[in-house]
This record gives sequence, C-alpha cells and structure tokens, in this order.
Amino acid sequence: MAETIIVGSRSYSTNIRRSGSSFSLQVDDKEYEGEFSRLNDGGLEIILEGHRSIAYSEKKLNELYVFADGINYVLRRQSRRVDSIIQEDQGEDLVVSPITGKLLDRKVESGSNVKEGDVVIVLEAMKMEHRLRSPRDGTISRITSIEIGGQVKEGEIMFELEDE
Amino acid sequence: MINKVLVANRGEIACRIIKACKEMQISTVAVYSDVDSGAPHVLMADEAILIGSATPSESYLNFDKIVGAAKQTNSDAIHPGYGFLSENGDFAKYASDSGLVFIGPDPETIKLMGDKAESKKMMAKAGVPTIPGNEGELSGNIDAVARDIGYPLMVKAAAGGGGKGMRVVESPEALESAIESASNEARNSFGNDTLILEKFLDQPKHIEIQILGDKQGNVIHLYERECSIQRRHQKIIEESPSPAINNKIRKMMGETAVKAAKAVNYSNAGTVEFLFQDGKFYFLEMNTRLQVEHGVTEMVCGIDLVKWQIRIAKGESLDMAQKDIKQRGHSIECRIYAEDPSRDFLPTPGIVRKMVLPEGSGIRNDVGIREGQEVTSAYDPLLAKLVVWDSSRSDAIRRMDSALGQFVILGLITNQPFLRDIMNNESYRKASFTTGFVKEHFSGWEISAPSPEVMAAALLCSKSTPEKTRTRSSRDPYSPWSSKGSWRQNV
Repeated sequence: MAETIIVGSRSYSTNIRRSGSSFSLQVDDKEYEGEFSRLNDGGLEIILEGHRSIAYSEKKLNELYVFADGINYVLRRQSRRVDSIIQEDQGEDLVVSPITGKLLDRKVESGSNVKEGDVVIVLEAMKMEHRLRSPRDGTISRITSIEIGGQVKEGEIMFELEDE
Repeated sequence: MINKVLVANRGEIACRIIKACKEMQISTVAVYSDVDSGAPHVLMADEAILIGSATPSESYLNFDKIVGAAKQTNSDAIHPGYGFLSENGDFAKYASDSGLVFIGPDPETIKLMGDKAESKKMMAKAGVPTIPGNEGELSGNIDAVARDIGYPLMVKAAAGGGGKGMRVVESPEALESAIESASNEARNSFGNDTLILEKFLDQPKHIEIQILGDKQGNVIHLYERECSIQRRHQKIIEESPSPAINNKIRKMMGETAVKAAKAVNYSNAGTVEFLFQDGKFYFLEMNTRLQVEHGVTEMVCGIDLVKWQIRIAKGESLDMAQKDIKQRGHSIECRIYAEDPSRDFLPTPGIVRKMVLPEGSGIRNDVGIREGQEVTSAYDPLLAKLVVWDSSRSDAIRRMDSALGQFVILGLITNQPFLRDIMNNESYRKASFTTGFVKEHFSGWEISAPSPEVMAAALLCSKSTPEKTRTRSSRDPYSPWSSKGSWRQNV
C-alpha cells in the first residue's frame, strides 16, 4: 500500500507489502526486507537488514505516533487508500479526496441513487487512477462541481451521501 | 504535630509530595479540579476532594476552597508545591490564620521576596552582590540614571516574573518606549507598574543555590544548580554541580546565599538565583518555595528536601551542619514537556496512549501523568521529570541520553527528541553554554529523519487497523466542509 508520510517538513513516499511475518518496505527509492512480530505489550519487534529493534506505535486519525530508535516520532499520512476514505456522521457520509490530483470523471449527478460500491468519482495522480466508491446505499446529496480535468486537492470533499 | 497534609497542587509535584508524606507515615489529601478526576495525584492520596472547575481561580488558586478542603478533612498542614499558591504571601497568611501550618517560609518573607525592587534593595544592604542598576523604584531623571548604569540595560517590572514586563534597551533613544511598554505589560500582568533598571548581562549563566533554614535560625546551603538551558525564559535542563564554576566561586556563592537567607530570617527550603558572567555573580531573585529542579540537588547531596520542608514546618531543627553537606557525583534533570520544539515550543495537548518509563541504576522518574490521561491546555505542559545520577558529568550525560532513549510516550507531541539532541550537542557536552544556548544552537530545529525502522513501525501500525471507515464529526473545525469549495447542491 503506497502512502506519502510527512515527518516535520519532509515527506517520504512509502510502500509496504506484507506476507505473513515478512514485509518489504520502500521509502523513496530505497527498498528494505524485514520481519516483524507483535509483542503482548503492544510493541512490535522489527528485524530489518539483520538489525533488531523494538518499536511502539499508536494512531489517531491521520497521525501516527511511533517510538523507534529511541525517539518518539509523529508522522502524518498524506494519501490513504482511496476506496476506504469515508467519513460518517449520523447517517451522512462525506467522501474526501485522499490525494492531490486531477478529476477524471464524475459518474453520477447530485440526486442520483447509488448502491454500496458504485464508482462515483474517478481521480488521477502520479499516472494512477483512483476510484472513489459509495460507502453504502443512498442518495448523492452534493457532489463536487470541479470541471473534468480540473485539479483536486487532498482533503477536498468529493461527495456527500444522504439516506434514500 | 503534622499528621495529615493537604497538597494544594497537581501533576508530578503533587505526586512527589504525597510520596514523601507516605514515607513519613503522614496521611495525605489531594485536591483536584473536575478535569483532573483520574489524575495520578488524586489516585495516590489517601483522600481526594473535588474543589472546582479547570479554571485555576475556581480551584487550585482558590483560597477558600483549598482551606475549606483542609478543614473538612481535618488536615494539619498545607503543602503548596511550586507554582499556583506557593509564593502567595496572602495565602500563606490566610492558611496560618485558619489554624493550618503552611509548609514554607513566613508570609512576610514570601511577600518581601516577591517584590523585586524591595528584595534587591534588601540584598544590597546585606552585602549580596546585585546587578548594577537603580536600587529601588525608578524616579527622578531617568535618562541620567540610565546613563550611569550604561547600555545595554534592562527595564524590569518590580513585581515581575516569567519574562513579562522585561525589555532590553540597546540605546538611549529606545529607553522611553521600552519603559512605556514594560510598564503597560507590568500593570496588566501584575497590577503594579513599578519598574527597575539594571545593567543587561549579554552572556549570563543562570546558577542558583539551594538553601534550607529551620525556625531556630540555622541556615545551610546544598550547593548549586546550573539552569542555563532554557527556552522562553523557562528552564528545560538542570544539573548539579555546575560545570561553569570552580570551588572558590562555589563556596562564595553558597556563603552569599546563606547570608541572603539569614538577612530575611528565612525558614524552610528556598533558592537564591544568581546570574553569573565573567567570573562574577549577581543576585537575581529568591524563590521562596520548592523548585521544579530540586531533584538534582537531592541526588548529589543525598538529602530529601520535601521531607525536610515538613520537618522544619513541624519545628524540628536541622540535624546537619554545613560541613556535613557534600556534593557527590553529577546529576542532570530533563523536563519532559507536551510542547513542540519545532513550532516555537507551542503546547501540544493530547491523550497519552502509551507510556513506558526508563529504569535502571541512577535513574529517577518524577511523573504526573498516566496512560489514558488527557493532557489539557488548562495547565502547565510539564508531564514528567527524568533525573539521572552518575559519577561524572560525561557519564551522567550518557546515562541521560540512554534513559531518554527508553522513554516511550505516544499520543501527543513532546520535547523528548529535542532533549536527546541537546544531550548529543557538542557545546552542551563541553559545557560551553549561556542562557542563550537554545536560541544559538537550536533555532529552526527539526526532528531527525526517520529511519526505515520508524517507517516500518508506522506502516505496520496503520495496516493493522480496520480499513473501511474513518469518522469525523461535522462539528470538527478541521472538517473539509468548513473550507469553501464549489458545490452542486441537491435541491
């Protein structure tokens, strides 16, 4: 899963793939292979390139609190997996753009009924297409009016659902 | 007799005092505001009384509520800790008049030392070196007074503290406006616009002497603490002994502090603060309370200051003489704050989701928070004090660095990474610093680049949580709905 992680004023493009207790990690243009296991106090044992360390991590919305290497870090996640970005509040759902990129397509209009999983918005960033799907059955109450081909910012609301 | 002590404070210092009382088999009463109901000091005390809302004037600063709680619980004494009511002479008097023992000096001493102009005058009279300046209130031909002192000089509020009502004046042209703005600030902050002028020391170190005096008139000192590592005029790292002074100066400072304390018939624990530059030291102020950084003195002198505060308040006399007090080894304290050193040390409230304290030989934790507790913006952002001891300064620095490296605190931003960087700073290690150290070496500081281990821990964490929903309240000010966008409304 590819993500941009921000630490202080720097940002890093990362990707992690897991299989069982192994993982391969990409940070910018470097790749690492490692193993991990979860400790019963909530910690993580990580073995990376033969080096063993114990880490702790906690998460709050976009923020990741990580203790590793003897330092308490706060990391911010910029991009999230598109299909999973749903905001809910008492029966109303907001779907925001997880990325800064281009609006490729708007599949439905305001007032349309949609089923869970229907593609509503198609975005493009870094030559990759991202589909924003409806999180549930409902009616599109608002949808972005940005022109097709126009720029979309991260965190900008793409559509809102209301109950049918 | 003191059989029960009410601790009129919160956080780590309240816990510290409660522990000392327990060791002395004295019962303890905690007071707390409604946001502190699950705080460690409340859980630790034998009894706990809710005294009001989070606003300090409704709780921790409220005379009637605190004395009322002491009466209600049949407490014999009140320990004020530091901050809040600890240097409020009126409160000390009010507590005494209500039949309670105030654990600290006499109300008159507190009041006298709280007035910078008065205390400076008093100290000069007692033969304590003070910063050259006008001794006492500013009057008459101010320009001539300023010319005699020499530029650069400092305009300072007599009732001041915490950097408020202070202005550095570089030249005569800037004097008038500095006086005007300092007196406005002083009037607003302290209700008193009396100002004093002093010579401005440009490369000072902050060195202070711990003293203990009993009610029989005996006063001893427990040597010095070096407190030059500061940000926003507040200390973040302290140590004892000071690497900046030799034994001759050390002895002179100690004797001077004792002289200062005797001049005001001081009893209980107190601290005489000095500025030190070019081999000379000058009286800065006297703090009539326990200091945050008292732990480093306890580590090198082997004396429990809080227990002695209580014994002295009970009327016991000191059972040790000056010659019995020895400095052994080296101790350093780091203050763990909920603040962001990369953003001008702004306070960073949050919930402590995970905390693991360092342990090992020569490591002491004075902690006022626990896992799951919310650190609110209502109070000082001090979370914990990490104190280490070792046989030499360089060993103590290494031990502190290693202990900081085991200090896990997640869920909010703290200055832990910043403190580690100071421990590894060449100038700090060489003890080459003044009160300007942080500004000089750490302006524009940023946390070190994360290693692949940090990234792996972060990404493995995010992976383990449910993938589908992310909720945010529509009342969230950070909600993207709050920002203006272009919309097609379904009408």
